[in-house]
Amino acid sequence: MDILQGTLDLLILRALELTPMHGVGVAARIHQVTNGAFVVKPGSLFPALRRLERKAWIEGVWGPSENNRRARYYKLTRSGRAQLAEEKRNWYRMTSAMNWMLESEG
Amino acid sequence: MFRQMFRRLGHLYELLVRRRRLEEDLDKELRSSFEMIVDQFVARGMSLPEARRAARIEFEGLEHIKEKVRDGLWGSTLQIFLQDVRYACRGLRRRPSFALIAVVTLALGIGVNTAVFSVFYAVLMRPLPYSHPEQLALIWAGFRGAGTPRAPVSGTMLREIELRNRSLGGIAGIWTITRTFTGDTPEQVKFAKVTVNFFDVLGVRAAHGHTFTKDENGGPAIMLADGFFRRRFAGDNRLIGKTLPMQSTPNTLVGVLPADFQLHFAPDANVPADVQGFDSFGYYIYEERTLYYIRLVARLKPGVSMSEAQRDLDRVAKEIGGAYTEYASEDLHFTLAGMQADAVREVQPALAALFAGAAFILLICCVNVTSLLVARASERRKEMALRLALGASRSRVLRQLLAEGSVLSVLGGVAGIAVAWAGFRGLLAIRPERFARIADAGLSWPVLAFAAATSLAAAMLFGLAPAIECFQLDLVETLRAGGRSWLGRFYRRAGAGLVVAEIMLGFVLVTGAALTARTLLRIGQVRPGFEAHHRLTFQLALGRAPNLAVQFRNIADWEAQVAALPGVERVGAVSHLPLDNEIPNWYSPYRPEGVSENRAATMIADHRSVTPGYLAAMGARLVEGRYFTPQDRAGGRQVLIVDEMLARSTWPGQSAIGKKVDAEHVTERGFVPVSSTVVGVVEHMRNHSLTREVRGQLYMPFEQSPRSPLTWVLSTSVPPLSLAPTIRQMLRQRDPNLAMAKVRPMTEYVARDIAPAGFTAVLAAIFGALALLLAATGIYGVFNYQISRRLPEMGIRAALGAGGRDVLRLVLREGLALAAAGVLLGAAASLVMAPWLGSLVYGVSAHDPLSYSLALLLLPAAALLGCWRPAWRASRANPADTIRAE
Repeated sequence: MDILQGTLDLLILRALELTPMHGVGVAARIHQVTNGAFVVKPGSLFPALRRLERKAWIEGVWGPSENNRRARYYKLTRSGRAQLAEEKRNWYRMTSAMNWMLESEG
Repeated sequence: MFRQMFRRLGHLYELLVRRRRLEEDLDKELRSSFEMIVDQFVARGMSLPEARRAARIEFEGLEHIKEKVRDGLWGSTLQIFLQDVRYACRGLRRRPSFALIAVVTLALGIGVNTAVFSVFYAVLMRPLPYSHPEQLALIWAGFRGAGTPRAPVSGTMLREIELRNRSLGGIAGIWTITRTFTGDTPEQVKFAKVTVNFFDVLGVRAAHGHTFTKDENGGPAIMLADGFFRRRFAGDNRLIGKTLPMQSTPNTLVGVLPADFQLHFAPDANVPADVQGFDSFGYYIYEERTLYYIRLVARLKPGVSMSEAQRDLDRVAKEIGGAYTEYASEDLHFTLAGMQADAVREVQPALAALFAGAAFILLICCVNVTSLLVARASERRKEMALRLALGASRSRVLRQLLAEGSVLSVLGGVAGIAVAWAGFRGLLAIRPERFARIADAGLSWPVLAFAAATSLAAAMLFGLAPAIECFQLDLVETLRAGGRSWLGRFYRRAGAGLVVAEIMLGFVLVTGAALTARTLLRIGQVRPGFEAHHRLTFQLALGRAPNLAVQFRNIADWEAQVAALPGVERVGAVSHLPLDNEIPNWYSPYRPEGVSENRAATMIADHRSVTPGYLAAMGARLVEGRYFTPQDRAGGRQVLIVDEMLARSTWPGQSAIGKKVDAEHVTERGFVPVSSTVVGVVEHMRNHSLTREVRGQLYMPFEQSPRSPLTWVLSTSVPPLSLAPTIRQMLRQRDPNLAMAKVRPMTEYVARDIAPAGFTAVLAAIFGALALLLAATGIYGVFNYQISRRLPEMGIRAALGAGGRDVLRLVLREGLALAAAGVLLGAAASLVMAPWLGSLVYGVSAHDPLSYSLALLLLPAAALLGCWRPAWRASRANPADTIRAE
C-alpha cells in the first residue's frame, strides 16, 4: 500500500515516540507495526529523516548498532513530541471527517 | 518560537557553510544503513553476495538517495522562502497605495542617509591615500604666551625635533609658494618647498623618475604633479632629467608623482590640495631660528601611540626651550594631531550634525512605515487568527510577516540607492571646496554596505513590530468580534507613541534648519571690512628686475596703466588677499614703543604689504589718519596703517596716530623688525573667515617691505570679469613671460567662504521639509486608521446628538494633544543638543527663540494638516451606517 502523502512524517514521529532508533530500525518498525502494509524505502526514508531533523523535531546522534556498526540514532525532541501530538489530532480530525463523509447516507 | 527560529537559522548556516561535514555525515549514515540491511538479509539466510545484491536493489543507488536528501533540504527552504515572498508580493499588490507609500517613504529615508553617509565616509572615514596613514601626524608649534596654538615652526625647530625625538620614524616640512612657467602661455602655479624626505615620510613613490634624494637638497631638482605634467607637458616622460621653461632656473625635473597623489591638510595649514610642483628647501632653513613658516608632517615609529609620541614631544619642547632663549620666553610646546583628524577637524561637527539629521529622517521614515504595517497587521488580525486556527504555526506566520517586511525593505533599499545616487549628484554640485574628497568617492562599497545594513535593520523592525501586534491576539475574541470594532490596545498606545516621536524628531530637525538658515543669512550680512562687489582680483608676479628701484617703477607703471582702463575706478595690490587661504598667512610679533620685549612676545598681528591704492580699492573705511600715498617710499619715513582691532587692544583709549611700532619688514637682510610710525587706522578686515575676527592687522607700504607675488584688486564700474581679457592682453604686451593667476571677482572668495554654511543650510532645510512632510503623512496614516476603526463610536456620538463640528473638534483636539507632547519633548531634545550645535551657528544663539517659535508653529500645523481629513471623515459618520455595519 502506498503511503498517503504527508503521512510519512507522522509515521516516523510515531515510530520514534517510545525509543530512539536508527533509520533502518524506523523502516523496520513501521513495516512490522503496520503488519507489512507500509514499506518505507530508503529513497523516501532518509530525505524524510533529514527534513524532520532540520525542522528540529528529531535529533540524530551517532551510536553503536547491533552488529557492532556505527549507526545514526534519531531521537524525538520536545518540539517533535508537540508536533506528533498536533499531527495525531489532525489525523483523527481528518479520518473522522472522512468517515462521516463515507458513512453518511446519501 | 524564537528558539526554533534560531535553530532554523543554525540549520541554514550548516547547509550553507558546513556543507561538507553534512555530506560526509550523510554518506556514513547511508553506508552503515546499507550494511545493516545486508546484515538483515544475511540473517534471513541469504548468502553475502545475494544479500548485497538485494540490498542494492532496495537502496536504488546511494547517490540517488543523497540527491533526494539534498533536494528535500534545499528545496523546502527555498520553496518556503519563495512561497513567503510570493505571498508577500501578492499581499502588497492587493494594496498598491500602501505598498507605494511604504516604498517611497523607505526610499527617501535610506536614500538621504546613504547620500549623506557617502559624504561622511569620503571625508571623515576613508583613509588618506598614503601608506599606513594612521602613523602620520602633523606637529604644530604653540606659543602659549602669544595665544597661537597652531603655528608653523622654524627651520631650527625642525632640526632640533629631528635630532631630539625618540618616537618618530621621520619628520618632514612643507611650505607653499608660487612659481611661473614661461612659454607661449605663461602660467603661475602653486609650488611647495619640501624637505627632501617629504615623500618618504608620506610613503609616496614617484610614478616616473624618482622622489628627492639627500644630494638634491637645495639643488635645482623639481617634481611635478601628474595632472599638471599631463596638461602642460603632455605627460612626456622624456622631459625627466631635463630643464623646464620656468622663471626659476636652473631647474631639473627629477620625477612625476602618481595620478592619485594629493595633499590633505586642514585649511588653516595653508597647504592647498592642488599644489602642482615641488622643490626642496635646502640646508639654509636650519639656521632660521625665528621664521615660523614650515608645516611639519611626521611618521610615528611602528607601535608608538599618539599619546606616547606627544609625551616625547613635550620633553623635546622643554629641551629646546632650555637650549634657545628665544623659544623659552614664548613658552614653546608642540601639539601632535593625527593627519586625517587634523585635515577634517573643522568640517567634522558639521558633517556629524548632518549625519545625525539624516539618521533622524530615517527614524521618522521607519516610524511611518512601521505605523502603516502595524495598522495593516491590526486589520489582518482576523486573517491571522484564522490561519493560526487552521493550524499554521506561529513561526510560519511570523516568517510571512518578516517576508513582507523584507520585500518592502529590498524595494525601498533599491529605490533608496537610486535616491542616494541622485542626492549624491546634488551634494557634489553644491559641495564646498573643503569636501573635495567626496568627488572621487561616490557610492563605494562601504556606502552600499551601509545602505544594505540600513534596509536589513528596517526589515527586521517592520517584520517584528506587526508580529508583536499579531501575537497578542486572542483567537476566540478576535473571531467573535469579527475583527471590526476591536481596536488593539497595543496599536492605540503605539500609534500615539509614534506620532509623538515623529513630532519630536521633526521639531529637532526644523529648529536645526531654522538655525542654519539664520546662520547663513547672518554670514551673508557680515561686513567683512571691505567691499566684495565690483572688485576684480588677480595674482601676478612681475618678473625680477635688475634692482628694486626698477621693480618699483615697473609696478607703479603697471598700476597706472590698469587704472587708466575705462571702467576701472581704483587699483591697488596686496601681498595676502583676504579670504585667499592658499597663500600662507604672514603673521608675526610686533612691539609698540615702550613695551618690554617680554610682553611684546604675546603681540602678534597679520602683516600685509600693500601698494598705495590697495586699501581704497578694497573699500576699507578709514577710521583715523590717512591711507598710504605714492610718497611713502623706500628710504622715506617708515610708516604703518593698523586696523581698529589692533589700535584698540594696543593703545586703549588713545589715538593710534603717531605711535611708534617695531614691525617685521622684508628688507635686503631678510625679515627684520623696523621701527615705523602709525599714520592711519582702518576698519578690521576678515582675512581668514567671514565669521571670525582672528587678530589685529598691520599694513606697510609695498616699497618699504616688498613681497612677491602680489594680488591686484581693481574696483570697477563695469562687471569685473569683463575687464579680464583686456588686462591679460596688456600684460602680454608688457612681457610675454608673465602670467596672471586666480583671475576672480572678490565675490568668489566670499562665496567660497560662505559655501560650507550654505551646504549645511541647504541640507538642513531639505531635512526640515522632509521631516514636516513625513510627520504630516505619518500622522495622517495613524489617524486615518484609528478613525476608520472608531467610526462606530463616532456614529453613536452622532446618534446621541453630537454635531459634526463636535466630532471634528474632538479628533483635532486629540491630534493637537499628541502634537503638544511631541513639541515639548522636541524642544527639550533641541535644548539638550544646542551646545553641540555651537560651532555650526553664527550670529544667532543656539537657543534662538525665532527658530524655536518656527518649529513650535510648523509642527502642530503639520499635525493638524495630517489629521484634518480623518477628522472630517469622522464628523460625517452616520449612525445608520454604523448600525448596518454591526
